[in-house]
Formats: sequence, C-alpha cells, structure tokens
Amino acid sequence: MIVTHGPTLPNHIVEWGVLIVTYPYFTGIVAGSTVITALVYLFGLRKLEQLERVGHFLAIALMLVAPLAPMFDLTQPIRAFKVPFYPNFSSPIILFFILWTILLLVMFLKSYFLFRRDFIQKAKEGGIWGSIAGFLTFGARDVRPEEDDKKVKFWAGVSIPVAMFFHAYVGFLMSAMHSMPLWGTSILLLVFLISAVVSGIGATLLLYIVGQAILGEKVNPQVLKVPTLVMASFAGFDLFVLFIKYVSEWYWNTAEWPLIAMAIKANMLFYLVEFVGLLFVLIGGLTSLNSTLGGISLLSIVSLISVYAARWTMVIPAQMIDKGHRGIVEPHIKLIGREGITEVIALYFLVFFLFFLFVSIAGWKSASHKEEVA
Amino acid sequence: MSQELKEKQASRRGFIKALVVGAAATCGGAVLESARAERSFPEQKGKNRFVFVVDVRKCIGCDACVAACKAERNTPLGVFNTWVEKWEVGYTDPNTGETRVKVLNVPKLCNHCENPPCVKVCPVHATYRDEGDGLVLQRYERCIGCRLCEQACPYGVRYIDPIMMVMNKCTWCDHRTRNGLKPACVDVCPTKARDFGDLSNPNDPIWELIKKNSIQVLKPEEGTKPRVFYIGLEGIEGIYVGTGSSTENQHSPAVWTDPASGKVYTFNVRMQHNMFKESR
Repeated sequence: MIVTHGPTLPNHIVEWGVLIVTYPYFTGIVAGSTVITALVYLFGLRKLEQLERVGHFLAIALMLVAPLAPMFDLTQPIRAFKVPFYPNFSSPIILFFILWTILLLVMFLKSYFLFRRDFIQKAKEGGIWGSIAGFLTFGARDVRPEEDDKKVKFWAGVSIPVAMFFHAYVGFLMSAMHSMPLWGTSILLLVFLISAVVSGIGATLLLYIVGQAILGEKVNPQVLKVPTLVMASFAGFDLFVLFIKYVSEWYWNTAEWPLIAMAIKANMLFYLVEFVGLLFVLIGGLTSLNSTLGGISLLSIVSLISVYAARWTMVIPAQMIDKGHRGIVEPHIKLIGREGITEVIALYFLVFFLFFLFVSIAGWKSASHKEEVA
Repeated sequence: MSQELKEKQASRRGFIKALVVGAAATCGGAVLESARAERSFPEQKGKNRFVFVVDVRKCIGCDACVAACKAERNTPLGVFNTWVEKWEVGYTDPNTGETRVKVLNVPKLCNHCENPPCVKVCPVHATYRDEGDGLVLQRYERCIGCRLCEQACPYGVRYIDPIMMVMNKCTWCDHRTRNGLKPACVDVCPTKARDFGDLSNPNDPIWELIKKNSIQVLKPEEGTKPRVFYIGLEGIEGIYVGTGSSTENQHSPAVWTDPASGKVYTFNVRMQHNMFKESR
C-alpha cells in the first residue's frame, strides 16, 4: 500500500528506489578510488601502490556491475540496449553511455599495463588461472617494466577525470529535473562528487585492511595515514557543501519548503546517519584514530554507511514531494520485485564475486612487489 | 629482436587492425541503421495547432471526463490521464470586503507543452513532439521505461502503464482529434468546461473563447509553454506558489495573511484520487 501525507496527484509514486540509490553509490566508489590513483601516480606516493591496486580491482568490478542497477530498474533490462541505437543527444542518459564506454576502455588499458607482468608470471605457473592470465597478455610476453609503468601513469592520469565525470553525471541528471525541489540545483553535482571521494577511499582502505588480514600480512598504519586524512578532509568538505545546500533551502523559504521539511522529517534517520557519520569521519580522521588499523577500519566503515545514507537522502526525499506541491508520498520498499532489496543484495554479491575473480587472475600483490620481497 | 618475433608482432598488429576496422564498420552501420530507422518512422505531421481550454468557472466536478477518458483510452486501474482537483481558495469579496471561500474544480491533463521537458530527457526519442499539430506523443514500442520523463514533467501527468510497463500519458485523443473529432473528455463534459480547438483555423470557435477571456497556464515559471489554457484561475494560480507570508501547515502548505486586514487566507486542496493508489 502506498502511504501519502496531504493531497497528492493521482499518478505520483516514488518510482526510483533502492536500486537507483545503489547506482550512484557504486559509481561514487569508482570515482573516489581514483583519488588514491592520483595520490600514487600524480603525487608520487609509491608506498600506496598496493592500496591503489586493490582500489583498481574494486573500481573495475563496480564499473561492470553499476549499470545493472538502472537496468534492473527498467523491469525489462534488455530494453537498455535501445539507447545506443536510437540516441536522443539532449537526454542526460546518453552521457552515461558515452562516459561509461570511455571509462571502461581507459580502465582496461590501465589494467592491461598494470597487470601485464603479473599475467606473464602467472602464465608461467600454468593451470586454469595461468591459461586465463596467458590469454590476457594478448601474446605480448616480453617484460618491459619501465615502459609499462609510463603507460600505467598515462592511463591512470586519464582515468581520474573520466571517472569523476562518470559519477558527476548522476548529479547532473538529477539537477536537470529542475521542477523537482531538492534536485533542481547545480550544487547537487558537487555534493555527489565530494561524498564519492569519502566512500571511495573508505571502501578501498577497508578492503585492503581486511584482505591483508586474511592473508596474514602486516599493514603499516602510518602508510595509510595520508588517504585517511584525505578522506577526513573530504568528509568535512562534504558537510560544508551539504550545510550550504540545506541552509539555502531553509532561508529561501519557497512555497515548497514546508514539503521539503516534511520529506526531510520522514527520512530523518538517514539524514542523521549521514551528518553524524560524516562528522565522525572528519573528527576521527584528524585525531589519533588515523594512526591505528582499528581506527582506520572504523572510519572506513562509518564513511561507507554515511555515504550510503547520503545517496538515499539525495535520491528518495526529492521524489516524495508531490508535483502538486501539497503533500508527500512515502517510498514503498519491497523485498522482492522491481526495486527490491533482494536485487540490491544480488548486485553486492556480484561485485564481490568479480573482485575475487580479478584478484585470482592478477594476484593480490604485484609481481614487482613479490620480487622486492624475494 | 628476432626476425620471428618481429613477424609475430606484425601479424598481431594486422589482426588488431582488422579487428578495429571491423568494429568501426559494425558500429557505423548500426548508427546509420538507427538514423535511417529514425527517418523512416511514419511522419504524422499535420497542419493543425491544437489547443485545449478549461473553463474552471464552469466545471462542476462530476468526473464524467475522467470516466470517459478511462473508457476511451482503456487506462489501467490506479493511473490517470486526466483528473479533477478540488481547490478551496480563500478570497476577499471586492464588493463587501468580507472573507469568503470558494471551491474550484480544476481539471488537469497533459499540457502538450511547446517546450516539453519529457521530450528533451527521453533517451530514445520514445516521447516526441509532432511539430505539425503540437501533440506530444509516445512511441510505446520504443520506450525503455526509465521513468525520466515522469521525473521531468512538472505537472505529474506521466505515469508507467502497469500493464504495458512503458510510460503513458494523455494524448488529447490524437486518434480522434486528427480525424476531426474532439477528445473524449471534451465530448462528455455536461457544462462545456472543457473545449478543444485548432488555432490554425481562423474560424474555429476556440478563438472567440481565448480572445474574450483572461487566460492562465499552470506553472508558467517552468518555461514549458503549456497549451492547456485555463479560464477562471486569474489571481489564484501563481498566488499559492510563494507570495504572502507563508507559514508551515502540514496539510495545507500554503497559508497566507493579508497584511492590511490581518485576515488569514488558506489554500486547501482535497484529492479524491488518493484512494486509488492503494491498488498500485
């Protein structure tokens, strides 16, 4: 049953639910993990190479799974393939296809040069993984570490702005719906982008720490201090931008404000998780929590939860406000079916499956790292 | 580098080149094919410039138009191409100075905008505007069901058809109006509150209606240039969005006070279609 407060237009329901909340969450982590790429290849923090490698695995897995969220939302996912055949270039959805294709190509090129040495080494070991790795070398089995490194640097440099644009597009799409209160503002794009950095670094740090723990490898928390500080500062920046957005909405006091307030009240739990979580990441990241593994793990978990809440508060409340501007409609979250929680859980499983697949093929550690240890 | 390796690399390069050329040709072909398909779509351009006029003063809120539309378009349960809103508007009687409340029945339907946001955002040209007669229509077989048009429409007239699972909307009964008939809702209206006409015909009675009366449109600030013209909303539509000193009220968001007399004016709306939502 659909619950409404106040008079609402007859056709109005909250159409985009948990799947569309999940989509920018995934693309945000893709964009955010490229900040670590920037730290390694643009700012020369070579100590973070292993962390960047984990972030890269995660980014490719998420990139491949993320489009499935809006595709499932269509109820007949195959219909999505009509878009490249009948493109309307004035639609923001076309941007997705262009940016996704470019980013995928760039990511694969970067992966190829990043993992080539690992593939060559793995191919020598034989077995199923060895033959898959052998195929992925595309026949070029001569080792050229310096040349490869230059190419990785180049494609990593290209991937950073493309990934940022790819994620910012979601903000652009929503701000293009200018008749929707809470969406029709260009600051939305910035909000999406900044919170993406928080969740991207958080997800990469957490996966890296957990992965190292499973493998019984030691992690020096001092090495992770820089990305943790970057995460904390972006959490602060995110809070600042969100503060500007909501204070402006309140101060403008437009006719829609009472409805915006109603929608915010209805989603208060998510807003609290978002703001308190980001505040915790900001404060915790600047204190001694950033020097212990437990502290960094905690900050990463909180950043992931608070950014998920942020995605919810970006997607859902705006849709609750009725187009007649006199009432709100509550979202109808189902367990199974269109926009069901089951679909979202399936997507998460798929992300982890792909992540483990990539780690199995290319290896958790890079070939150069193994050589150094040897 | 050995001769053998060089040859091997050369042959690989050739293979990759062939692959790239093949991929480019396939993609190019697909784009050309889609462009051809776009052109060959049957053009339905006419010479008409349809407009819809709603005289709110005459509407008695009988919902005959809603029923007629449901029957004509076979609209599924829970979704509507047209509906009638009940507005209670507080006003000051200019003759006596007393505060009164008047009830208006305001029929709503697709505005077939001249600058339709739903057409702009549709990723596959499923929603399109016929530049000839100005109708904004939907190609059901092409719609992918992304709901972007629903989000973009400021009037809330777009909905997902729960049976076809594609977006649907009011078409101003294009199957009737393009054959010289009037839309079903106009035909059944007992008080002639709804009227429909063709502006390209100088003898159309709609001209007289438009010239005689003051015309309002819904949400002009959105820049959509709607073509459903309202009569009788003068001084009402537009007031409730943001003028006066508004205070929060949960069920009637707009409450304003006349600064001269201190009288409180409310704008209340009752919607009788909320109950249908349960079926969705």
